[in-house]
Amino acid sequence: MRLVARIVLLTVMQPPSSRGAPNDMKARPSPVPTEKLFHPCDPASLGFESTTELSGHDGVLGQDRALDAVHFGTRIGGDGYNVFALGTPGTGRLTVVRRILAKECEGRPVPADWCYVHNFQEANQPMALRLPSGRAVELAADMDQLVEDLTTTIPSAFQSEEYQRRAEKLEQELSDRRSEALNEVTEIAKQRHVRLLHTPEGFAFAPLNDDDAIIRPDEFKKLPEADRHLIEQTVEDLQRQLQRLIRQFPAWQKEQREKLKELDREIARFAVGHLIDGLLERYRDLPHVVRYLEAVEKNVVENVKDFRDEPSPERILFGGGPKKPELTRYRVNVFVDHSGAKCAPFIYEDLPAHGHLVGRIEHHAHMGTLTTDFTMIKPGVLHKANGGFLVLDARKLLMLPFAWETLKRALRAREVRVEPLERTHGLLSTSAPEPEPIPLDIKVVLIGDRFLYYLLHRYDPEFRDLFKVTADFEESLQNGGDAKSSYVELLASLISEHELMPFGADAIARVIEHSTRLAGDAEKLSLHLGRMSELLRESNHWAKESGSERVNRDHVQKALDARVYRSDRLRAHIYEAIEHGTLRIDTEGSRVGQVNALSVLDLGNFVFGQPSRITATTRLGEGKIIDIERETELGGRFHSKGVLILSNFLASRFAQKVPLSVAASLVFEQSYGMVDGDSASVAELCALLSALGNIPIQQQLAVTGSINQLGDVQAIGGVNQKVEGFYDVCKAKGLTGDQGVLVPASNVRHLMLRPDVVEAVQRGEFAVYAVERIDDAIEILSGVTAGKRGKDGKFPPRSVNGRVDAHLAELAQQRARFGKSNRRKSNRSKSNGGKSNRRKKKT
Amino acid sequence: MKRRTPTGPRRVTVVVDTSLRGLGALEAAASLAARRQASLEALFVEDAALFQLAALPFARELDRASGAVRPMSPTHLEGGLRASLNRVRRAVDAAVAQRPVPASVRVARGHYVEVALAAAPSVDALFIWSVRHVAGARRASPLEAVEPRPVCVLYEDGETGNRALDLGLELAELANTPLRVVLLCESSTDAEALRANAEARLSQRGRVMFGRASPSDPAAVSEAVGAVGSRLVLLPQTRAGTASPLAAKLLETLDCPIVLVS
Repeated sequence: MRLVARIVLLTVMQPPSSRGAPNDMKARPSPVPTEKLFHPCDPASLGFESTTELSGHDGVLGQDRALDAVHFGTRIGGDGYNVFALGTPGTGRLTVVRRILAKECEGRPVPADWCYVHNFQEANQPMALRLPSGRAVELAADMDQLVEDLTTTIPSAFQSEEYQRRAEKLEQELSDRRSEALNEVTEIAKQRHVRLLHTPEGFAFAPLNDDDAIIRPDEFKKLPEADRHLIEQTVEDLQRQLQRLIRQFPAWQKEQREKLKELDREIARFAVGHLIDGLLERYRDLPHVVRYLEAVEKNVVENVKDFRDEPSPERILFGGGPKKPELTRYRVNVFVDHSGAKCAPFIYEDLPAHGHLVGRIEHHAHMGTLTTDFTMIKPGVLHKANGGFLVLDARKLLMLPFAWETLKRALRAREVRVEPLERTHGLLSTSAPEPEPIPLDIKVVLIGDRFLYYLLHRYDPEFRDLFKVTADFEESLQNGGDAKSSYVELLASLISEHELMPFGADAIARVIEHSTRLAGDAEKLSLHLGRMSELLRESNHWAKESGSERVNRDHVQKALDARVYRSDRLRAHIYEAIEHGTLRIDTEGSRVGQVNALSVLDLGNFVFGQPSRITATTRLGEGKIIDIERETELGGRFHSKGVLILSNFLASRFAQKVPLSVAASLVFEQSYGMVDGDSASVAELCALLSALGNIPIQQQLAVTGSINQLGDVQAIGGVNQKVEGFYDVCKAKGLTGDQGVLVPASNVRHLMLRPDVVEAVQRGEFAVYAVERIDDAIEILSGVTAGKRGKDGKFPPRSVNGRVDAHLAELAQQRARFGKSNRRKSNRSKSNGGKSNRRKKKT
Repeated sequence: MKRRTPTGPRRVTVVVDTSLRGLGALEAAASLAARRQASLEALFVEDAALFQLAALPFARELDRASGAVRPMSPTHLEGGLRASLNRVRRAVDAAVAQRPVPASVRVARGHYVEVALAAAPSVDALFIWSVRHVAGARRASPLEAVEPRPVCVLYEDGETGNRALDLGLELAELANTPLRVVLLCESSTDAEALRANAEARLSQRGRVMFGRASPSDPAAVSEAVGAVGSRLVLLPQTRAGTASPLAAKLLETLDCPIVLVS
């Protein structure tokens, strides 16, 4: 290892010019011109001085496809035509959907009201009643009034003289009947010289003597046997008669109770009838309500005692007063009320939990016990939005337990069932109401990102059937035609909506420049209205802070800089480590097998570029390139793919006729986290070529780009941050005027660099080079001609490719020699092996 | 209108027999005692005939609720009477619980009607239920307001008659029920004089209906009282001696409490 290090060191100490002929040296191509590094927006071209002059844009910009989809989804009939609005957060999906749905609702009728009432047949299954809008409240008020009327009408009916007289007459009849019967027995007994006596617990028959007095025991004993027997027989006979009579008493009492009950019914019917008749007349256009009212009447008549009974002391003590809970069954639970609505409902539910979707059954704690009834059934958003539109956040829906399944179930069944989760999943064993489900006629719009959409599409077979309409939201707008002026109008709308101070044209121009950078394309504008709103607000803040009455370019720039400053603690630490040499990044000199690559760190709210050192080492081998990141499980799949591609490029270019007899290893030095993406594959290939050809790489340059098997350099993401990242490091270590970054030519259109970087380029302190092929990159990095195969099929010997080719050929020969030698050794070993074995056996 | 100062009984007695006949009048008696600042007494009469019967070898008792027959012995009878007496005490306590009325329970042994009639002269008002009434039958309390059953006073000339009339009027007002006055006299001339007397005493208060019956014809008096389905009948004690056929007839035929007024 020390030997290799010394060789590398020596190589580095040799200047490139001393290692090849002057005609092999390659001068750097022209850098990307500054006008392509940044696309300024000219304030004068905007045609206004202050946003107060603008009327604003009330439509939706750049989302024609999504708009069409949402319109289509909301208007088409049939099952499953619900909408999934997909796109990146902040692109105005919710705003657009809200706007469309609000308009769509205007043309639709107000849906019906719903209420739950007691089911007199199945008390545990509350009945759902559908009423025209506004009439549920009316019915509830009518029923409350009815109960109130009944609580006074019924007791007064039962306190009337008429009722009291009839009830007492019934009592009297029973009393008389019993008295008559007993008196009859008394008379019979008297005729047989026996008296009926009343004992504490009943009756007894006492025989009388001739003086009509009860026979005394001594008197009885003196009687002849026959007389005594006769007396006993008589008493027994009378006892049997009385016994038969007493056994009839319960039947008489029951008969009397029935008569009394019938009387109660008659009185109750009279008391209830005229009150119910009024309601029946009022609701005669609603047959199901009429049926309910008839059931109420029947129930009141059957349970009239509930209206007569005084509240028990226990109820007054513990039940919260004299109000009778049993009368609750006549109440109406107004479940969905559209009174005052002028059109169909549109609801956005921010927390689409199971209970918020399908409603819940609340409980009342009483003396340590939870009680509930149909009046405690509360609606969910599916009920409230029934007949209209419901907008939900797909991510929240999927994250909340069972919410997604609940929504699908409702949409599939086209009905909403208020059911606690514990019952749905069979965990509830206590008795609770099972409300009648309510038919569902609704359009659901889910707002989600693309990842979720594709995930659902792939893994949930029901998703496709339930959400047939996709509204795909654009993230950027082509900056051509009237787009810029519309965009400016849109910004003016946002300024007005957020009540910000006016923005000058120069401020808006800077906002547009930032929008272009966000879009990642010089010819596009970002439709991330959320982020643009943030920038406008923050610019407004800095303008206020400075005491300005108008936002200008400096305020916008201040907002951008301040945002970076707030978030770049980690970046500052990394750059500091590079500056101090803790993180080793060279920005001058040259070195074999070492290339400055560029990576991007995404901290969520802040993205920045970080230079990384990639090194490559080679040795004799069998064509295997070891990706150390992958071997240590620190490399992602895309990175591994990039390494495999460059391996194949190497093999296809240099190992057509001889085997690739090299073993190489690639590593991101001082990288201790995951590395992914293929944007370092150009850098890795250059490091490998450098190591194979023993060609030093200029460390004042950094490179980014991915490579394909044919050697073409392909576009990568985050090009601006990467260029700026290397610029920042060079600036910190000292700009030499020779430093720069190589980027894929196809990324030039995405360049929208920071003003300070552009200014450095203008001053000739920094440069950006566009490369199309790997040969372009290695030539700039090494300063040596890449070299093309001649007619003889060979590369120029001093070119990069020639030197790599020669080294690989040498390695192939060594490998061949090594192979022959090995084979000979192996053969000798085989021929000697037998003898040896024999010797061993002998030993 | 000038209101008369209540005068009259200082002791109100309710007669209760072994089958607890008479308990239903306790509430009314307690109300009256409270209004009159009198004491309340429950006279529990143990029927002597029961003891005689219990001594006989074949004595049996039929349960009032089930009709079941069981042997009857003096011991068993004593137990039953003690239980009944306890119930009487509890009922008396309950009746005076909310009223500042001194209350007591007295026990006597003998024939129910005879004991009651014998006790009547020594108390100011004595409530006794007729023997026709079956104990345990549900009846409204004598003072519960149920129209149109009136309070009926058997009125005759004299102090006792006047006290009976005063008390009848008071009970009718208490029960918010009409007052019926049956004039006990032999001739229509006497009746007119009696009515004038009564009217003067009543001073046109309340709803009063008048009737007439001859005191020498107990059946006619009983009919005059029963015909109006009286809630309560007040009888001057002078007409309720132990040998009075009128009292005996009324106690035999009416199905409501009778108040003997001294």
